[in-house]
Amino acid sequence: MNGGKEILIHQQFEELARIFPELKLCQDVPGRWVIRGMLSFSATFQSVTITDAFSILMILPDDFPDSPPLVQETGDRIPANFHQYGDRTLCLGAPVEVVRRFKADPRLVAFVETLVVEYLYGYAHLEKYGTLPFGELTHGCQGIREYYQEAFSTDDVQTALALLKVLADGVYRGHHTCPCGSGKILRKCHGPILLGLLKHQPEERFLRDATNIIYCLEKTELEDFNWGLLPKKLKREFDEMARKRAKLEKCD
Amino acid sequence: MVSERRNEFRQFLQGLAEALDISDTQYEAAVKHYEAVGDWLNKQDSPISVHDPQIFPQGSFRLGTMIKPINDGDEYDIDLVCEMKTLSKDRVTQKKLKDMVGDRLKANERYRKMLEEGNRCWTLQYADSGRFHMDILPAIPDHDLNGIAEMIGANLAASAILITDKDLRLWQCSNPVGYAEWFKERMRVQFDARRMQLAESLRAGVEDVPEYKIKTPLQRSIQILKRHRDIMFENDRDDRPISIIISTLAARAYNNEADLLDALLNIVNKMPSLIGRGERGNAFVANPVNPLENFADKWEKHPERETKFRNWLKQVRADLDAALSAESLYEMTEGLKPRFGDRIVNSAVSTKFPTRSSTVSAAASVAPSIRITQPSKPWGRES
Repeated sequence: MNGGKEILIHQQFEELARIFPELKLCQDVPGRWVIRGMLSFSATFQSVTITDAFSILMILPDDFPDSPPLVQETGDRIPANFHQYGDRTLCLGAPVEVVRRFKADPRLVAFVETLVVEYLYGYAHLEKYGTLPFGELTHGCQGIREYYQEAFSTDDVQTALALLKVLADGVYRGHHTCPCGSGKILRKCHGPILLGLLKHQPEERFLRDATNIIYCLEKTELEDFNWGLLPKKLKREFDEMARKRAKLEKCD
Repeated sequence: MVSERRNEFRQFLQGLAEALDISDTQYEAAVKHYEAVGDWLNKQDSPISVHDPQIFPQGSFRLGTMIKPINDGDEYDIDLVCEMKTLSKDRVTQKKLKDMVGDRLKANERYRKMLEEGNRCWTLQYADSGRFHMDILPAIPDHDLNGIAEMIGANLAASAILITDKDLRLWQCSNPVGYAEWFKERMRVQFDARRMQLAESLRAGVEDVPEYKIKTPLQRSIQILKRHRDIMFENDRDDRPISIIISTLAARAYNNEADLLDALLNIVNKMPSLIGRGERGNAFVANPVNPLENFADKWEKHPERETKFRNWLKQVRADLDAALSAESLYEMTEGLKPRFGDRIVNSAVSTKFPTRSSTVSAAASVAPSIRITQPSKPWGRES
């Protein structure tokens, strides 16, 4: 195992445990680091203070601290349909946004004090007062789509996907023509925005985001969809899937 | 002290198995769904009703050893057989048999939309609350049993069926009903006792207590073992021990212990010694209702699977020992979280030891004060 990473995890955890003493660092299997226990907090937003505690599990990804931890609520309090992924990992915000904020201060204590506590505060607020204090982004793929359309300042989903393809394929070249149709070169058009996003997450994430957006296109949008906008890896995966499906062994 | 921990562990294991179980509502919904499929296949105007199609569950749903998937979002998989009671292999080909069932399902608008085709089975994808899908495997009765009836008795052999192989070229023997009967026989003492008990407490007749409501220590042990396996082999799916091997060895090891902890310890200790050897020295786990069939046949080509299976059981044993020698209930359950999952362990603790789970009021004293300034909006993927 990478000793440097282990030391970093221990250091970061100590800092975290000083503020949240009921959390414990464990190595469940060699190389898999998790933090579990009660997360007690007293948080205030616009003069509303909520004191509460949630049982949580934080999984530190293999590439920590390049990627933020994944968090689950393990006390059966937050229902599955409240802002969670299929594996019950909490959706702390739009993925790119979460990464951006974690990158800005990649310490466990900062991550917990901001993103995690905000989320739990939000849920506790909903439980107590029936409303979410910070509003919410549209759910699901629609939310991802909104995020990118906003980031690229475009109303057209195909334009957003064309730009996203550059990120997902990992082929950014400043002198290439910008795929938004402006006729300018990337460097003088959407380039700076793309480079800004690139810093926050790896290509696979952009691929996943693009996949999600395509998956949720409306029927009418699919009719005149330009299939050339499929990220390369996704196209390869589609071909592979089609092949696999042909010899799928369903019953076994 | 030691006996106190033992008692706590007992209760915890019970809570764990209960938390792993599918709910009665889910069970009943699944039964209702497959009975509706059966009715559709059997309707008077159904072209296949002349073959008297019978639909029944097999596998863990039938054995009462189903468990929740690790991820709540994942689906339950319910295995069904559709046996054409009056067909025989000289009157139908494998492909024809499969198409018969598929065509009839497709004739129903609702099923047509839910239907997916497998190599030898049909899958109905249920989108409603239960999150499950049903694999329907077409089958015909097996009339020439080649001496199996002498080996296992005519009663068990009577339910033998033929299913198609993956390429729809050959027939394969199977006997899910016979297997379930054998399995039930292995836990008969506890099963009957518990059913009677439940009937008394409900002031009902024994026959009125549905069998699925009974869970013996054997079934509970298998549920616990399966969960431990699911987590241990989460990233090693190819070498994951298959459920039928676990169920068969556990059922053979079970001595009708009344207590779950006693049963589990005995089962885990005895299972390795029940793996037999075939003629070539290969590992052999015989199908109790077809002694020539080896459930561990794949281990011959992949010998590492046997090693991993044995190591897995050693790990279970070590985890049970660690829990028994824990200093406190807290230490015990914390140690089990990596093995069984945080959510399920917490859920078992809060049902069995409601006073021990952490309370919010206790938390307030240590809670740091946090001021939220620029929150991000929470965001969720559509389910």
